[in-house]
Amino acid sequence: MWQRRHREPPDHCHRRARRMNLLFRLRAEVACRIRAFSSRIGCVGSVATEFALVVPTVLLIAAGTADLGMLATRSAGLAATTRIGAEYARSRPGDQNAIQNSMRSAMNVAPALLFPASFAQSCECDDGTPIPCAQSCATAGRPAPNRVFIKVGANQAFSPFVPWTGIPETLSASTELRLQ
Amino acid sequence: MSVLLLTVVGTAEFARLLWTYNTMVLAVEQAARYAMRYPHGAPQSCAAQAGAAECPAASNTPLANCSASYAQQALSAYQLPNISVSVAEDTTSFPTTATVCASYSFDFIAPRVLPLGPLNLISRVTVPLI
Repeated sequence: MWQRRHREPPDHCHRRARRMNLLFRLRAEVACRIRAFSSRIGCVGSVATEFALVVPTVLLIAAGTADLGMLATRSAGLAATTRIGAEYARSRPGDQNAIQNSMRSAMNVAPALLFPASFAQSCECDDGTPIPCAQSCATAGRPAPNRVFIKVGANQAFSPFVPWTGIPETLSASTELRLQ
Repeated sequence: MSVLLLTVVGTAEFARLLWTYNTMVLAVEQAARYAMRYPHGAPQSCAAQAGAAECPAASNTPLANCSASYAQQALSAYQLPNISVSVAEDTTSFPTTATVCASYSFDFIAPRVLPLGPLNLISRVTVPLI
């Protein structure tokens, strides 16, 4: 009767198989740890990249908001100053220095105000047609009386945190007032 | 998320601060122009002004009282009635000047998010009375 002979492997084969198994497991463990480490490195790197991209944008938005706020405040202050100057000019339209002083001392604004060479007066007739102030509307055959206006203006330097395109380096404001 | 919240709350709060300050500048300037318009006496009688902290002492003259009342009306029209106004006349200078001053202690709505307040806002205008 034929019997299948069960052949036991030699002892050194068992040892070799165990050793190979251990080696495979060790290799898998090392590969797993390397993958985890590189994944962690990749995560940290992407956070740093996102931070580097977002921070300048956020800073630009903050600087832009602050610049627009300062621009609005300074413009409002300058406009208010010219209205005070125009109110002074109502009483003394010819006194350019006094008008300028009234504006300078009104709010103690900094930087200093800059003024045009003179505050121009303009005239028109009762129908709105412009006419030289030396002429009379009645003699020119137009509806009288003459309307006389004075334009009081001032400029002020403005330096934003960021030199944005469109934000002026000098602010201007003017108020036109009817004298008669 | 917290940075975004801080940015949004900060923007809103500083916008409110700016709006309050600009309104104070406007009201003070209008009251100063009122004083310039009636240098020899106000056209009506007004109640005595209460004065304002960190501002020159209020004068008890008809023009000063009416100028302060005018500024308070302007502030109330802009929904800011709690701002104190003080108008002081200086008769020792030439020409006589009037100083209109408004002061307000600004509190942030969310002080835990922005622990910066309260901030003292002061707006002051000095005009000649001619």
